[in-house]
Amino acid sequence: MIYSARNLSIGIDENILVHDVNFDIEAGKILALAGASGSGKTLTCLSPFRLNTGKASGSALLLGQEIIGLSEQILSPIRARDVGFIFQQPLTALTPHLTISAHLIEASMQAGIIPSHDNLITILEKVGLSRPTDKLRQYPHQLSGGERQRICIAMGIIHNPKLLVADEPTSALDAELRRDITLLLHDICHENNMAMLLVSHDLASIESSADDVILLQNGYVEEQSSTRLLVQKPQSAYGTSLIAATPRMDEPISAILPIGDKLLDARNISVNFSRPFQFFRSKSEDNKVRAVRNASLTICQGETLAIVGGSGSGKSTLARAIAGLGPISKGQIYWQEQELPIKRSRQNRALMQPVFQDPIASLDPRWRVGDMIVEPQKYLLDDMSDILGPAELLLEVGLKTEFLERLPAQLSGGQAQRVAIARALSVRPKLLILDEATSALDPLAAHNIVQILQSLQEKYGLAILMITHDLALARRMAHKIGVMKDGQLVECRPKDQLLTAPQHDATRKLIENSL
Amino acid sequence: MVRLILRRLWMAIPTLFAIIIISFLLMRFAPGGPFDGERPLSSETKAALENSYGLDKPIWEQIMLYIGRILQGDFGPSLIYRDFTVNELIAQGLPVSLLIGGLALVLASIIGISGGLIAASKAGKAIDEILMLFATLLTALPTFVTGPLLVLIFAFTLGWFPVSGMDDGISWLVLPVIALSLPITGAIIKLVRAGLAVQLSQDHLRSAKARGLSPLKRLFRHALRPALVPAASYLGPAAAGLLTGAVVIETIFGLPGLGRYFVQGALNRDYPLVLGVVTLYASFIIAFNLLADIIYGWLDPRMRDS
Repeated sequence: MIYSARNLSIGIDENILVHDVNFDIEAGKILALAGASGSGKTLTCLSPFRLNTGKASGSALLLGQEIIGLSEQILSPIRARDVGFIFQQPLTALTPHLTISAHLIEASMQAGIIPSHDNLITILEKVGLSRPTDKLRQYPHQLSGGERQRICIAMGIIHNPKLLVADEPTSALDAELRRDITLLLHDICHENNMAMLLVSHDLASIESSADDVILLQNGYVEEQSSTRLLVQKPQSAYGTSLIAATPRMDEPISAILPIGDKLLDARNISVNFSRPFQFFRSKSEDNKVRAVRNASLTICQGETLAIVGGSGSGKSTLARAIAGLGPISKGQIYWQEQELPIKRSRQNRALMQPVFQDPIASLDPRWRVGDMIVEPQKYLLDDMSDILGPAELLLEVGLKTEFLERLPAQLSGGQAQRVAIARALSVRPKLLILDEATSALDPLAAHNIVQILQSLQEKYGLAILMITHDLALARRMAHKIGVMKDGQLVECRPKDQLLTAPQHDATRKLIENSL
Repeated sequence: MVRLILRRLWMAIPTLFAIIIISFLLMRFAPGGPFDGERPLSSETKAALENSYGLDKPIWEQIMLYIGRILQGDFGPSLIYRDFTVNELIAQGLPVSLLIGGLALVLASIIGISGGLIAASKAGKAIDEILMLFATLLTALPTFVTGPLLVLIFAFTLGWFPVSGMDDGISWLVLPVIALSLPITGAIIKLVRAGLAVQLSQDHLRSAKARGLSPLKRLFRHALRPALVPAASYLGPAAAGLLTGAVVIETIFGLPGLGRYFVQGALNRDYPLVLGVVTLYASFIIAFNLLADIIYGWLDPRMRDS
């Protein structure tokens, strides 16, 4: 047994936040801690190692040694030698002024091993990095997010630890990378015969890697079983709802609502960004970044169009161009056969309203909910008759009137996103533009948002343009799916056609990665 | 990085010209002139003097002539110290000012960075509180208070250092350098402490802790360099503080530096002398800002690519 916990509880100050967790992880096995944000999974994984403010009690045995209650001086070398850690944010987990080789050498030296140049190259190849010799000389900021997370993994395993602790290692990455990194961790664990404690709120990642899973809710273990059993036959109510909330590619497609007349017709949209000014530019190099190339799409009343693609594929840029919130270089946008001007009028803006990815960031922290959600009415509407008041708007998104007086800091992520939707609804839009509106939320909160959107669509015939990286979610919600790759909308068709008979390689790859 | 430096140097040219022209005009619009003594000169004499220095020409012509001379490296004759050119006066005063200012900056950096490090590593403890109080006090006390106070204690009472003036040894340097460095030391302590406080809560320090690095190693190897960025951006204002501080310090300690000429030149409407010193000061401040940019690049490699 590599790592075991008995009656492990974690408190901060006087409050006990995690209660009586028990588990054993053998060499070569992966145990996942899952649950919504605030359920205590990160506390459970990091506090016994004194890497956050939580205070652990009970027992945590690493290689037979009790680590709870050890002083920092004794625990520190144990962390360095026997455990590898991988954190959520690859962008900030590396020291900006040290090169990649300095990081790797330090991690190895801490465990008492002086690595040779060949060792460093080997470890970088093992985590799937190309041109390892160049990478060693580079600084963290010169690498992409996915590459940095691979570096973090390399640092976590360079000293051959017995246990790997990974705290949400993939949740800051986009879907394609998420899958690659999850598989990498899984393979490394098996090859090195390492035990791994994985924290994740992403059931898809857990399902494809973990042997066993613990479901936490509000600090209590709700369910503990093998991953396969949890997915196929969840025992607890929480497990059941969590499994149901997570969109899957193999779930039955529910009946879709009928659609109405054509509302929006975007033709040949291109968006170019100029590169920053450079003195010495080779003549062949194009001065433009072509973020969106010649994309055309239509949306009808009551229809949901999902644009799916990896990060950097241009999907958000396209949505912003359509919403009139970002630049547009070429192309026309028609609304009910009338061309919309580049500079939108107030009436134009009321027709389509955006909802963004980070709900807390999209709300002004000093405004009360009640004022915030009716603000657009003041600027965008001429006809103030039969508008919905703040309390009615909240009701539309399933929030009670007591939320009117709250500030954004007093809302959970899911509640904040509901407020953002209420604000978008306040001007009676015909089209909602959702840019990854559920991807920052845990599965249950995300599912709740999806249900609200579907009921609003049914009630008002709202059209929805949703940007997402999650094909399973698009499959669950949309009438039509468009796939974007390198700025091009390679395919945009009704979802059953697109999913059963994909015509483009990018679509096939996306479907393959989502299974 | 090289491009950034070239661009900054290129931008420095119009900045310097703007400073010269504005100072030129300000000096001229100030009442009084170089030849208004206690005993009024006859109007013929005054006109003849002004004619010989070219002060009777239209002001734009004077500016153009002046800039033309500066481009050849000639700041013109002093109007008050007859027989001396401004170049000669600057050549006399600059070494003293540079010596005092340079030493003060080095002293302030050493004490400031060490103080900031100690305060940040003992955050919330008594020593941190004391250091921060001390830093606030230092920044709040002007040099014309600390200078005479230092003289009173260490020169008059204890007799360790000379009261004023310079001699062949180095003991005359101690008090002026300390007095000049105090406010900058205070500012650097605060900036380094704040910079470290930000860095110590960053993710990459938790990663370093997870790798088993000792607190001291985390502080020096992972936190210090990025934490010095705010202190580096203070270099430009610090240079300005040193120069204006030098004006006061040189007067208090009776040192023949640039600052004294500056004050006397301004009081006597010695146009070429004041403009010469202003041009020099402005160049220093621009140079220190450039130095700050170069130091950024060393402290944080992200800046090199942006």
